[in-house]
Amino acid sequence: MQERATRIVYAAGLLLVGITGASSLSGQSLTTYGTPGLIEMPTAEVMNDGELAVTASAFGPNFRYTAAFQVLPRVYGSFRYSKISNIGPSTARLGGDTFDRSFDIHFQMLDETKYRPAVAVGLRDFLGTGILSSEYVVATKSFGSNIEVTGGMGWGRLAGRGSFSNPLSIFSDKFDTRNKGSNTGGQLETGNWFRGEAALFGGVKWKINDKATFFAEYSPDLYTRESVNTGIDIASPLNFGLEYRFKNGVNLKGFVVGGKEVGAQLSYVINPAKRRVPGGLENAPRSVGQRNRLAIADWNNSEKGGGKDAVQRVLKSRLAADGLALQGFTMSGTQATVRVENDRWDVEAQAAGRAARVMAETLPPEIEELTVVFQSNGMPISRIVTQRSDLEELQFDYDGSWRTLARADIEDAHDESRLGELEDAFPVFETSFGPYIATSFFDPDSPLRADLGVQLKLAYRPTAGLTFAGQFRYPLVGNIADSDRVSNSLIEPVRTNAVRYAQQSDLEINNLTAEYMFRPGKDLFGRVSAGYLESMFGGVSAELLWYPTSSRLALGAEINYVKQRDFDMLFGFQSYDVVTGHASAYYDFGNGFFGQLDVGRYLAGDYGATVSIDREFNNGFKIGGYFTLTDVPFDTFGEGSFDKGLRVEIPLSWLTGKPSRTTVSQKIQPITRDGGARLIVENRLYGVVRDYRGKELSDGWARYLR
Amino acid sequence: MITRVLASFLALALLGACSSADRLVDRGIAIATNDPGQKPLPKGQFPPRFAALVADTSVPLMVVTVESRGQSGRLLLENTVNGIETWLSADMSALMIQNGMLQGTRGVGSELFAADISEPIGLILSGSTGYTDRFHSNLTGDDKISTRTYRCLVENKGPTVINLETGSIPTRVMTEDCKSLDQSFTNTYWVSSNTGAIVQARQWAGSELGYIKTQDGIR
Repeated sequence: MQERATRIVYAAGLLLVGITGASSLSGQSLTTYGTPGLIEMPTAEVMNDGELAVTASAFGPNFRYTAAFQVLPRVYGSFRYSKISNIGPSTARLGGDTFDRSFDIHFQMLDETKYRPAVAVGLRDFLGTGILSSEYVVATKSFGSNIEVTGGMGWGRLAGRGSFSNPLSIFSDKFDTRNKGSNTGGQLETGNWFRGEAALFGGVKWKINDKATFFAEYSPDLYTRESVNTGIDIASPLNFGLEYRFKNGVNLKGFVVGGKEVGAQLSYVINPAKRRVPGGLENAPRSVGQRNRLAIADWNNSEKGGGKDAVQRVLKSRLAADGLALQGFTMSGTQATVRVENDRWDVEAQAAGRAARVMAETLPPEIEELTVVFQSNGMPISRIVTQRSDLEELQFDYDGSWRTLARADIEDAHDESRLGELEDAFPVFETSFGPYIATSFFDPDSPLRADLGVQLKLAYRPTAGLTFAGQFRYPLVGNIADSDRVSNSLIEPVRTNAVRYAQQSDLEINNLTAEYMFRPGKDLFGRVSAGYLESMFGGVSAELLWYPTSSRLALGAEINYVKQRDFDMLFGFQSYDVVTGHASAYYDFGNGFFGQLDVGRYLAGDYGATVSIDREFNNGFKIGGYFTLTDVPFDTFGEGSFDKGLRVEIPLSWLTGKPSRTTVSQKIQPITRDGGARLIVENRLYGVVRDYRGKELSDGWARYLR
Repeated sequence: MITRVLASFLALALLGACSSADRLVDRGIAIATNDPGQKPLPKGQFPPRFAALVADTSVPLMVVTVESRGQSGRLLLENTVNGIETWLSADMSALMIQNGMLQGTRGVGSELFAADISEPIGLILSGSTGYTDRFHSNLTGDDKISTRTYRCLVENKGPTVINLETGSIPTRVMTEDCKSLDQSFTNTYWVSSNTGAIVQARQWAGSELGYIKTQDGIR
């Protein structure tokens, strides 16, 4: 549901804390690790399905920033960026500070029942360098509505004080030993899970009232590695905390760890399934059904100069008022068709409904069949056929959404001709000028780097499907170029020279392309692009997508020949060139889960595949992740071992309540290396087409009459 | 570092609490994301669709108060289709009214998408007491329609005289006490003894918006 994705300096979640005024509480308390639990210890609890929690905590030398997502009703995962000050000697790099990215996963095996506690198993930092690594099995039982008691067994970090030999050793001697820091990070540390000594932990949570909650826990974590240089003092296994919940849903927690280390944390739980303003604040649609009044309207009255041209003028201005650009119009017998480009509505079914309403509110009374064709860059995608009398009958029906969907037809628009194309439909000239923010994460010297500048976007479309477009940026302030990180890549440095691009450029030509989108046949879409495709590469790109309108599955193929661009981001090229491309399969699993598999050759010439999974809420809020494995060995790849990342995309309308096709999106890659790097091309077809295919349109149909 | 984190978090939290700051944040987002959005009109100027109704002095007017927000406004009748009136507000939100009863809302921030009130209408207008069903469909925050059925007791509470802009009017007070599994509300209607039409009502528009009061008004 996006056309213009914009990057925002804040991790999107943090931004939400400020603007989501209404609280969406889950009754969850989060630990310093940002996952449900007590102070540091996990409980067997989970959040409500789909919830997203963001937490920042600090005590002693530890600073942890976590986003946790309830992926499935029983499973949550989290991503954390953490800093430990002075863990190494002060003479070491970065003054001994260490920065770490880590992932957790938690699985609730059993729900709580009247007599049985909830039971869960979890892994903390199972993919990182392992400083925070631990595993646990935990049980939590509530007594009344205000008290919860938790007890569990932990390994790794959680096997400090009072540890004993691993009970799992009865299965195999292998469970006796746990290795430390064995790889470059990023690999699954399966060889260490539930290994080494174990220890018990436990605690109590007491909900004092709706606003305040008290915690007490027994923690076996001795902070052994930290205590050498950081001075953290764990004098006692008992930790205590008090949490206060503000009216707007923000949680503030103060706590004492180990008897002496005082800390604080802030957290917020977001429910993506709830727009900030349910239903939205956009204008009420006009009601339809007064055909007799339309019969005498000036534009339908030939005696007053009415006729098709006059109708078209009225139609065009009314569609424009609803954010729809009219590109073609035909009317004959009892049938009329509009071809429109949707510039406003993030829910495409709503755009279809608005267009049909404008037709029903404008066209002469004898027209009965209303066809709306959606075009993107002038390429027809799908058409929706509605009977005017159905709209009139069902617009106020309490089951109108289902009933109109049942009576509408959604068809492929490959055979749509350019008959009736408006004379002024082409050429189209679009410009946008405004600020931009570019970000760079996780540089240990400065974990959040950003550039702020101005951006100019131009597009010229002389005819349907053919677009010349460019994006130019001029950074005004920022510190991305201040980084001293140089590429230490063992393979072709296709991405790790980002800092050199920032340093050696002034005015940036981010892209400057010619692009042609077309319909080669039924259910088929084509795209050819050439020019400066992205900031670091230029060349030619061709893509074909097969996507039947009612299908959950789409298949695509893309081939590119590109050359690496000069660091000044102007017109020159370096010597490196490569043929890269992928075969892709896209699948809508239902329940909001979308999968994508891309197999092919990446920018550095490596062969492999990318697996992506997104959970997309019906309102367009999207959280997902991906990983790429290629024939570049983990050691050669470098830190992180392979490419992986998380992404969040929030429709602007989710935040503001006003319809918009703009989204706020952020991709988080723990580390950017050169293996598994994919070419960036604007307008990959699946993203352009999906929103207007049958599945997406019917998913959004609740807003058809909105 | 902790103080910095706390300060920025708290600043954001405070912004979240205040509605004018909300608008500021909205504008901030619009600028930061370079979203063209819809430009607000200059103060005192109506959008053309509403201005057309203002210009026609024969268009009926209704006074509306949203209790939970302490907001009130004057809505104009845009049109009537199949017995359902669309009353438009200057901010382009609208109420759908059928025989004086709330049938739907649009753009008020929480959506009563449509209601089937064919059963209670009869009892309320005729002044009878009895049980009826009513059906509501709401547009949820996840863009899905959720429908509920309410079982309602309609009762005649006797006559009273109310003062409206249109004058002092003798009315009959009708209440409609509704319950579903998880929600309950009581609507009150004042039916004119002169015309037999509802001239004032206090009706529930959903859990987020609460009660809306509507009254006949004059231009």
